[in-house]
Amino acid sequence: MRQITFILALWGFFHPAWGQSTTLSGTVSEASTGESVPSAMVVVKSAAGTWSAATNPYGFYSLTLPAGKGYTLAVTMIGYAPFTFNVGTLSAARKVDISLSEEATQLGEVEVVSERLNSNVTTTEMSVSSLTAKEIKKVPQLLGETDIIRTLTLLPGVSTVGEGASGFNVRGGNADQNLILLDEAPVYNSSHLFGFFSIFNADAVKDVKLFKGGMPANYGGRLSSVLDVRQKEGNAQKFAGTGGIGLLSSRLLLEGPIIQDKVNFMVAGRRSYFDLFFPYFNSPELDNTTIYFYDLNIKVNAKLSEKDRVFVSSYFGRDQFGASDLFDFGWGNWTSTLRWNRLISPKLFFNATTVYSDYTYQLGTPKDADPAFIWDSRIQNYVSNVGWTWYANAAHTVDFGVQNTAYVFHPGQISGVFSLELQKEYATEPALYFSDDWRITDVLTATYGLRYSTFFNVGARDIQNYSNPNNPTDLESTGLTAYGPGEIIASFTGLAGLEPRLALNYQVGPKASLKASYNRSRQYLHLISNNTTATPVNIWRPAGKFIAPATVDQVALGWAQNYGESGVRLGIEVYYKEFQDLLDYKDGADLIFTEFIETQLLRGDGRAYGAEFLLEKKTGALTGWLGYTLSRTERIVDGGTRETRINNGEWYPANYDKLHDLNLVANWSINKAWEVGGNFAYQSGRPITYPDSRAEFEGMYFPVYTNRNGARTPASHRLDLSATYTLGTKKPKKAWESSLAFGAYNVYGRRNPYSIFFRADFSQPTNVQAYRLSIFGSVIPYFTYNFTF
Amino acid sequence: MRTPRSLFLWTAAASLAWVSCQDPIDLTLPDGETRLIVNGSVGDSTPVYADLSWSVNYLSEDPNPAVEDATVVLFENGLPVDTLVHIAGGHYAGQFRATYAQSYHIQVQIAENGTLPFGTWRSAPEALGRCNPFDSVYSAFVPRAPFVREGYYVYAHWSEAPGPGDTYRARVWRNDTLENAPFNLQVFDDGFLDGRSNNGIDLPEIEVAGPDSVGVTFTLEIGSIPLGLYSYLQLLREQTLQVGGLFDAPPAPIVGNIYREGAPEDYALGYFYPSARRKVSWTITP
Repeated sequence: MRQITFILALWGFFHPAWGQSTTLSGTVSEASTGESVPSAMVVVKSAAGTWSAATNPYGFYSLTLPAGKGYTLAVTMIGYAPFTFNVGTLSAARKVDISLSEEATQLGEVEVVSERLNSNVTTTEMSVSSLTAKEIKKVPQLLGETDIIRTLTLLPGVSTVGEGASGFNVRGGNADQNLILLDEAPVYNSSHLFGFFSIFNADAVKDVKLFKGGMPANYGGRLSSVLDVRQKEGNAQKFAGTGGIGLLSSRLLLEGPIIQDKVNFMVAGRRSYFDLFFPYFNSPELDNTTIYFYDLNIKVNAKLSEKDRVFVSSYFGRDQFGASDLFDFGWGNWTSTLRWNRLISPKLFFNATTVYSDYTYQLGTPKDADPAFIWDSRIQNYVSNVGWTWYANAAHTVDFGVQNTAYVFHPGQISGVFSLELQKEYATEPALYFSDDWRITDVLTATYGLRYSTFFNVGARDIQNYSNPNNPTDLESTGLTAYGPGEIIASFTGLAGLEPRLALNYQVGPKASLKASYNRSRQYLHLISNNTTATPVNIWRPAGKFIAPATVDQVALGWAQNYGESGVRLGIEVYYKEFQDLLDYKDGADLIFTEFIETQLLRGDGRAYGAEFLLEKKTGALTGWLGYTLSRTERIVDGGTRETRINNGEWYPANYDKLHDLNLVANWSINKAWEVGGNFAYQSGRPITYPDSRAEFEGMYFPVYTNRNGARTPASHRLDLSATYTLGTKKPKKAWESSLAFGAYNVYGRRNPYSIFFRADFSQPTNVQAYRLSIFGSVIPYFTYNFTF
Repeated sequence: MRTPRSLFLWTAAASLAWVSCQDPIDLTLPDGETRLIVNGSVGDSTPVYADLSWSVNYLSEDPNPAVEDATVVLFENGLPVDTLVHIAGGHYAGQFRATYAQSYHIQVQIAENGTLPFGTWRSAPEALGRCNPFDSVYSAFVPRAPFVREGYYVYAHWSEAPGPGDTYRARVWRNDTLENAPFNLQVFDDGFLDGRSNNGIDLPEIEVAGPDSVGVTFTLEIGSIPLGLYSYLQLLREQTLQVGGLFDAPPAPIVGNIYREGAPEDYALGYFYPSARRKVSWTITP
């Protein structure tokens, strides 16, 4: 008992200064739509002191305060007008729900504004990028398609292999090391059209948060980042719509109350129609060619009582690519989320979520072709999360919960001219987490936590055994072992599953703070991809008997500084990451339809380090940011033999290692009618492998490579510009509002090198020419008509 | 004057002109380490041979220099069975033919001569596989269809030997000229066709060539190859044809089965392999 008392005292849960305390809690929502507002700063003041808290992802806040009088409450959030409320006397628990209005041109009370702008200084959060849909829509976009992921790559620490590449890389992590959540549902392919666009319809998105480090303990399963995308809940006040008609695609969102103040909905859809132009190209092959994507977002939320709220949301998206009766290729995500929030008490918030996520792809001939050949693959997830937030007192906010994800992997099934199915794989990933947001002193805060994850790879499945399990090869197979349904093939438990998380904030004055964080993360899934960029047909495989889970340790140190009342913020962070048990591939690895994939893999480690600078202006007519990243990302693969080494077992730069990455994003609201924007991006060349010499095989010449990623492409840069003209601003507010958005991507037509490669003239094989591949070879204009009603 | 429709199409085409582009560039590559290249084979119907040369700068417009002063010996099941004679231009030939299921390797010795590498290299032992003869060959006229060009095509029927684990290479000659560019490299295994027949009933027939003109003669050869060569040729094809694109595999060393004696980490380039080859020819007739 003495130990328990000691531990509780250590946590500071019994604050000696407290007399009688009470709780002020409630929700923060948007006045015009009723949408909850996450991450809003709630600040309560009285003569006795100042207390603050941020709203949780569902807009809920809770503050434990000493009973007393003269309390005032202020709520601030960038993009909204500050809200102040005279609470008066607090003698018992009280609920205050707040509605925020969108920001008017005039800023409010200077002190309140200052608190809003300084939220980055007061929070322990670091290595986090938060964007609202409104901010994302201001950035000039490729073909006018508002693209969340492309916008994120303009932030420090986030990059891609190159233009058109699928996925993104965060602080030296592979694209498969990003946990992408849409309403808590994992998304396995975040791209449409092979990576040109993201699957997120910005109209349907409320809030985007990217954790590059210092991850809260409730997130796990990926090494490098968490991209948490929350869909809109639907307008609770009135029926409304938003849409746009563009050159590439059109979109429409409808939202409104089903039962006033009880149930509301949101439904949004997009469809591209590039292929509809093909008949005009007078090419018989194009006549029957299809290439399009569509997606559908649905969300319904119901307020069952003052304490209970239920959300049901779903996403369904699909890409389809086909040519006459030659081939058919399709892929897509389907996610469904059922979530229940309950306010157990003013101090205890409960959330239970169950998720189904399904990523599938098909490749082959059309079903009625002769001979037909269809290859199906999919990964299914069943996620269950139960979590609590306990607002213990003014010093502690504790999160804890239990999570489990069950996986079913279908690596491949062929039907048609012949039938074949690779064995399914089954796995489950249970985890526990705990974290405490601890205000140690007025200037020192800490968020510490622990996540404990385990992983079980289970049957039914036949496993191939090898004479050398450290370097499995088909030639050294020693037979199969059959595992029955549910029988454990490999388990990952014990201390290695502990993932400590720590973030510290030391406030140096009202406008500056020093931050530090450490986190360990573990990843039990690997995307099996030996391409420069991932493709939709790459498959995911779990850790198992021959594939170890990957681990990363990251430390980061940061400085946050705000200047004046103009909303100018400076953030500087340095980080160092060490990766263990990353996958690489044997030379010439055959990854397609390989039953025992471990025979094609190599094990390696990695490291990444860098410095990130972000100067941003969040308010006023001119907004934007200047971001710069100086970084290195390296890998090492040394399995002990020539076949299991890369570059003689020495460190080499990863595919996406770029020393310099500079982005300038600016948006200027000239007046009510006109808004202009631009962004300039510069990146050092990425690593590339050049041949050292030329060899020959029976009259065919081929390149000899000995130094992977030993050279670099030239640097890339481009300028994008946009303008938005809002129609009818001189007339009174109307039911139908519209705007014209136009601009250009890659304004000066820079041919940025995606890669340098060589091509021989096969009629004269010693005649070899070097080529530069550019994904976008010219300026790309766009035009979109947007509307709301 | 542009009609609204043409204006729309022009705008759409201009907006969507984002297809990738490839521009030739000037580049200088440094000279890498000079390595020995050994390519050779021994068949059950063709005698042993080996071609020896040195690697050169990748952008060199000259052929790879021949190695003309080497000693090349063929081994069967670890015992020397033939010493190859230099014919010309680094081409060495012998008389020995292989036997099914026996194991073969060669040894190459090069004496010290200036700055070029010298010493002894040998190939990894590889067993001769099996290969069934062709069942039939014929040509047929195929009318135009989507993605199919009209004309005469040559087809062959061939049955794979029952029992898994066989790998093969196919080669085609058009009027006695071997079609020998990287995109002509054809290798396959029996994973999906073990013991089955490409006879147009069980599995589709083998399309040898086409469309082509009446009177043109095509020869198809299918030869058994070791699993290592199967992987080697797949990699060679990938590394010469599928390069630089968004979804292409990264460049990788193409290492065969030739190593410096006593130092398996020090490899030469190329491949020596046994192969059971079967050939069939057909001249297109109306």
